[in-house]
Amino acid sequence: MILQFFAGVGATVGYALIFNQPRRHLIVTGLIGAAGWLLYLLAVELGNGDPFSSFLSAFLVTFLSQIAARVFKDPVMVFCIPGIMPIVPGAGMYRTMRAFVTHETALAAATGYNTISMAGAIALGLLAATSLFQIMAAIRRTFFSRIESK
Amino acid sequence: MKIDEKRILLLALKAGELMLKSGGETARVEDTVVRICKACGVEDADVFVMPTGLFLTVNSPDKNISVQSYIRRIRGARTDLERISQLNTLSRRLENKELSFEEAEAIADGISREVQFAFPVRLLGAMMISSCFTLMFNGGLTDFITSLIVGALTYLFQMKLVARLQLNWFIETFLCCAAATIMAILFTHVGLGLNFDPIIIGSLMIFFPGVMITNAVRDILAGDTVSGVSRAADAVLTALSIAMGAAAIMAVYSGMGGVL
Repeated sequence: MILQFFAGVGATVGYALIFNQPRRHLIVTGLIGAAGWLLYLLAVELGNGDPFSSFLSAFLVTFLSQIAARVFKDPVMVFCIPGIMPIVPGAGMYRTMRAFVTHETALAAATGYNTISMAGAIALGLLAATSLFQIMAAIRRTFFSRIESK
Repeated sequence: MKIDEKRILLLALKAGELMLKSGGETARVEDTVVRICKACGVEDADVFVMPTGLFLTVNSPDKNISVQSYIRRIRGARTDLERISQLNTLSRRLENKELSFEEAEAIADGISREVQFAFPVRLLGAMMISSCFTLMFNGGLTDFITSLIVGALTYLFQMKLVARLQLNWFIETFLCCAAATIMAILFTHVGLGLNFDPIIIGSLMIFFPGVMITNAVRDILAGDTVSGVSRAADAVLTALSIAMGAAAIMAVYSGMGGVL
């Protein structure tokens, strides 16, 4: 688990470096990415499917990125893009391709289906967390700003 | 003081162009351009941004001045989160009058010329990606070390060789992934690494279109459907070219009976 934590931090920081992330955010982003990766592993361990685990993980990463964006006053994507990378199903895509090449069509279809579901689940997780923040902002705008202005 | 309108528009256009090239999402680019225009006193500005281009039109309340339009064609994006962050800050500071127009112009000029992380640092990033993904997918210690080497060589291959040929991005990704697969298989056969699967996965991850996946979702949510769908298509095609690069080599490898 500790090894996986460091692998998560390392992979995320690696992306942060090739995407030229602002230096001051490297540590925070690394932690966000590692949190997402650990949650994914935990969810799989608890018996959830890959797609649902990816959804939870993408949700967490986007949620934390939104908070970080507000704390550090920088665009959300600065944190979100490297943070989401550890759960991108590159391994699933590789295994699908490999099964195709070795003519194991049934395995390829099953892995491919799983991979596409994971990619969709990540998109949904991103979408859900972004929408959640928009709803929260909208509630604050409509109900609380009026009270302040009185 | 009245600033020349053309200069304002060129500054806004430059900021938008840089941001779009660095991988900014559509809504944020539009927001930044309009923000800069309004901060400098151009009230009636409208901008339309797509991943491949940027249109800006302004109308002046003065009837004698005709409507002005600018178009910028955007080619060749490369992700640069630092630039996005800087341009975002620039537009906000301009809006809050913390910057004069001339200062903003100078800063935008500086941003466009600034070099990013030095090449060795990015190479280190690529090595971290490949080796950490090897660990994540159950690679052992030897696999870890081999993937450090393979990741570094693949990134060098991309940046120092393939990128200079200026091929289209599909072939570029294809070649790099094929090279990564060859190196991983060769290294494992020489005895460096027990299993080439995690090593290949690690090296392929360097090329994954993470920015496009994230931006596609954010664009579609923000109502920029055209940008979102085109970015999603871009992501799918890039993923396919990665898979094809590895598949071509794997097909040859398994055609030879899995031995060399």
